[in-house]
Amino acid sequence: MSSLETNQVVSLLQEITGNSALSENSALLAEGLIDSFDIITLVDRLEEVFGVIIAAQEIVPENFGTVSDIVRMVLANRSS
Amino acid sequence: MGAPRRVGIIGTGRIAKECAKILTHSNHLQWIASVVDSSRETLSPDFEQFLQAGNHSYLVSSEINESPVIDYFQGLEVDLVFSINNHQIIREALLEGITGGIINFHNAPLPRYAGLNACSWAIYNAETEHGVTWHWVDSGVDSGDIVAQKMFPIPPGSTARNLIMLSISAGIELFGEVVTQCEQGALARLPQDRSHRLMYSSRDVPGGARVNFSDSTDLIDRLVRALNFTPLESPLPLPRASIMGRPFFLDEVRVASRESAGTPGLVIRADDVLEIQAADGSLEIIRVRDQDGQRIPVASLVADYGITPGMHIDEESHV
Repeated sequence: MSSLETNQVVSLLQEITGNSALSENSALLAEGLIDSFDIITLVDRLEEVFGVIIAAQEIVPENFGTVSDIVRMVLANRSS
Repeated sequence: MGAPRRVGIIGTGRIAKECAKILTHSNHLQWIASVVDSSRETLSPDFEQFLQAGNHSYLVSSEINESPVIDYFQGLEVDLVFSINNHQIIREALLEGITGGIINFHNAPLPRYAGLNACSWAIYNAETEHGVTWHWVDSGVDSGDIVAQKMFPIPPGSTARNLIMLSISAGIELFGEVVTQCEQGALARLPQDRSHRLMYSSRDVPGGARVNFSDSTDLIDRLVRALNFTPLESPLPLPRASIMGRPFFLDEVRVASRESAGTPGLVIRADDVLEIQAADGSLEIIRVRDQDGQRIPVASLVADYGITPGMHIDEESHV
């Protein structure tokens, strides 16, 4: 997993939630650190920052559980 | 002030979660029961997760009008229910089962925009402001007396999704006023002025979801924004155009020129941007979907469909 993308995703999440304690290892959904509003805002920002298109079918809890899940989805879209 | 009222919630999403948080701070409203509406898939289990984390009593139901839900509320002696982002119509049996009544959140300024897809219709109809309403549930559709209402401006360029998010935020803010009314002992009951009622059903689709380039740039822009729920699944058809019989869908356009460079539908530019002549100017199509509804770069659409300047977008008939 690329540390550059990981750091960028963590920064985006911190910016969106205003929670600077949020880290690479946070259980984002399970701990209630992000909710549906945050996910929608995050998808906008991911598309902008990484130049990818994230399909509606990909916006499911499994892709937003952890920072690694999000980075994996971004990288998969980047290579497709 | 009398004994606290025993309160329940039926709903989902961030708005149900945030309103529940507000209730936890009330001395007069004792929030004791919740029903998570599972009739539709949600982006993330915001409300249920909040209930679980706080060890709150709740029931998950896709049929909120059935006896398990009514029995649940009655068993806990709930006398007032808030319906918050609940996607099901509340039927007589449930309504009669809650002695103090049910108050529903609607993301529109009732009596205007009752029914479905209020935010899409507000954009399509060129409204400059929108609103949200907390109202008593009666036997009609979004027709009960108003408890509280709040208006706000629609930012230029808003999509349906933007306006839904703004409405949810406004609804959460306004819920504080509803709680204050409860605490002061009297919830408002302002009858709706039926002469101003405007209602849309599931059969109604803005512009028939057909993009006709003989329309004005402004109308096309509003149609595309009204049907843009990106990145979410749209509850409405996507705005469709076609070239040489091959359909494609528009996610985002912007006005490129206010001058006429040819007949409506003429392709002026076709590279990473598709510029098309409309009735009173030209539009750049900057986000598109292919015929399967998949979001693709404009350059891919141009290449796949073989679009070149000088071609014409097919004329669409309004439905």
